[in-house]
Amino acid sequence: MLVPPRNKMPMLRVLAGAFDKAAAFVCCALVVALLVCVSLGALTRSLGEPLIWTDELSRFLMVWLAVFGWIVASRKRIHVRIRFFQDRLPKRGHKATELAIQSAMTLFGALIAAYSVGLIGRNHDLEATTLPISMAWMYIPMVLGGSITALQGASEVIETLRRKRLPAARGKVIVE
Amino acid sequence: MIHLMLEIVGVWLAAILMGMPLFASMGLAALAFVVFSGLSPSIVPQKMAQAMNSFPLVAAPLFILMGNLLGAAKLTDRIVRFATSLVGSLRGGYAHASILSSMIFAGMVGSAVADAAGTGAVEVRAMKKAGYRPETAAAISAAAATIGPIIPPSLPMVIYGVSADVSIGRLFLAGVVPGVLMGLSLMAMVAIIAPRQGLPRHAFGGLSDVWLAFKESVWALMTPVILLGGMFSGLFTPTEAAAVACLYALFLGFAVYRTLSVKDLPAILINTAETTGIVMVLVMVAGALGWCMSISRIPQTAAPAIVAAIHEPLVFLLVSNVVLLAVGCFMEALAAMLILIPILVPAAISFGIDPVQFGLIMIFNLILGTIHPPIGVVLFVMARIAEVTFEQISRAILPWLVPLLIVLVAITVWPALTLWLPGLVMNK
Repeated sequence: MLVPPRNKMPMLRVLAGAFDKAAAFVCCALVVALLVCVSLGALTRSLGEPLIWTDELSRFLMVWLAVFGWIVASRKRIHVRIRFFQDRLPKRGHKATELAIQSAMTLFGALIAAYSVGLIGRNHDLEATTLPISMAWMYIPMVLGGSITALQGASEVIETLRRKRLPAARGKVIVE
Repeated sequence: MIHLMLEIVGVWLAAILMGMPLFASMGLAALAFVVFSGLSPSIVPQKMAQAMNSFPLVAAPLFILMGNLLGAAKLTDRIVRFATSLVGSLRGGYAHASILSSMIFAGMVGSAVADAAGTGAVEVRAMKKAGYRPETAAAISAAAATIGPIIPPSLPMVIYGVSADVSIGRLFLAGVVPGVLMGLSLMAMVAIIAPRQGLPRHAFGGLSDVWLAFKESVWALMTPVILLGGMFSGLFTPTEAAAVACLYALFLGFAVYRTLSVKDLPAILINTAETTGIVMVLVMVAGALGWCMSISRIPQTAAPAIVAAIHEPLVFLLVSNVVLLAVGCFMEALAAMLILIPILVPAAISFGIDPVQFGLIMIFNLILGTIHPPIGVVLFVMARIAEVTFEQISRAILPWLVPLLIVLVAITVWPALTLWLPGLVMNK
């Protein structure tokens, strides 16, 4: 978690709360925008005057929605993971495994963020086919997704080191 | 390159079993491959973003949104009441009604868990009230919920279609007959079990009761008609049909039944984004890892090796069933699907098996994993709803796996069960 214990660093806690609220707002806006965009495309096509930019805009929105959903799910720690074997480890083994996992998460997030910056640089002067925007907008959310994953992983490393007992497994799997 | 990829896949599988979030383990495996192969690591985030740059995939969040809207609009009571008025007077009537409700609801939502959570509470409450043992009620609802991702719309089918480059419309049509067969086979099982367990029948209220229940639920029952009718008449693409169905769900919730209010919307939208994030980040990293696998020539090497080792298409399908069922015991369906598609689908095509039929078989097998331990997410949901232990429902579900396995064998042996309808409607 990005959130430190209540009595320490309250400013970080406030910032994390504000970030979560902002991310939730962006998620709502993206879902609504996606629905409106696809509906507009269907409507104009059925009227015989299709808008050429709705498909491409919905694909851009899809990238942003997927990444913001990834960020929110990371903050809530509800990504898919198989805890079956980890939960059967002794307490110390469980803690050591969790530290290794969260360190790997930090590394993954940091690498994705870092390499996405390069992608933005290489694509900023390329324009989308039907929209007057740069193709870099496709890769900007990757920096955010990677950065939040890295921060989340790092804070969970700290929290795991501080805590004597690990929290119960949480998860949300509703895709099957 | 192939040896490097195999070593990385070994470490990656170990990381998954250790408990690492699947998306991060897949992403790190892809990063490790490009770094050790001397390729530019920017390829990984690029392939991840490009995996989302697909218009058919836009259907996925919209189907999730539609399911959430219909769930929040509380349409399930009306659907269960309609189903009970139709088949409730048979012996074990509430069990039959539960299965029929799930079949109808399957035409509105695209996942087993959404089906279980949507109709499960109403069905289990009715069955418990009628004297069913709670674990039996929960097991019946859990087994019926597996119809959710087989009858269209289906979230796993959207993901399979995009990942395996197969028509989503064709997959949706291919799911209709197996989905109906699943319902009928479960109803046959109820007919066998009901007299032995003394399951009661609900008094028949007459045709006027059926008509009343139909009138109350007709707007809800129109959802699959609009969705599938629009798609297969060529009026909408699957993505557009998903958007239209969302608008219709909003219309039902706000204007017809007035069960939705504006203050419900933020929670619905956030839930949609969360679920989209959980699913799509897996699709993103699978896009990167799939690219790594293809340039390391794993699918190109594995497919001929599998063909050479197995020879017969039917044996390949039976072996695939066993492997997929075993994998489904330990891994979430979507993740397993994304991992196995690049290996198994090329092999299936090499054997001359239609990727649509193979997709149905793959999804069916992996969905069965949701109703048996140790992962069994649908069992967890139903155990919580019915207030029984996971062990109780795990034992109670066993007889209900039999009819589903029979349907699985049937769609494996007879391709026509999956391919006849797409051929008929889409003029193959």
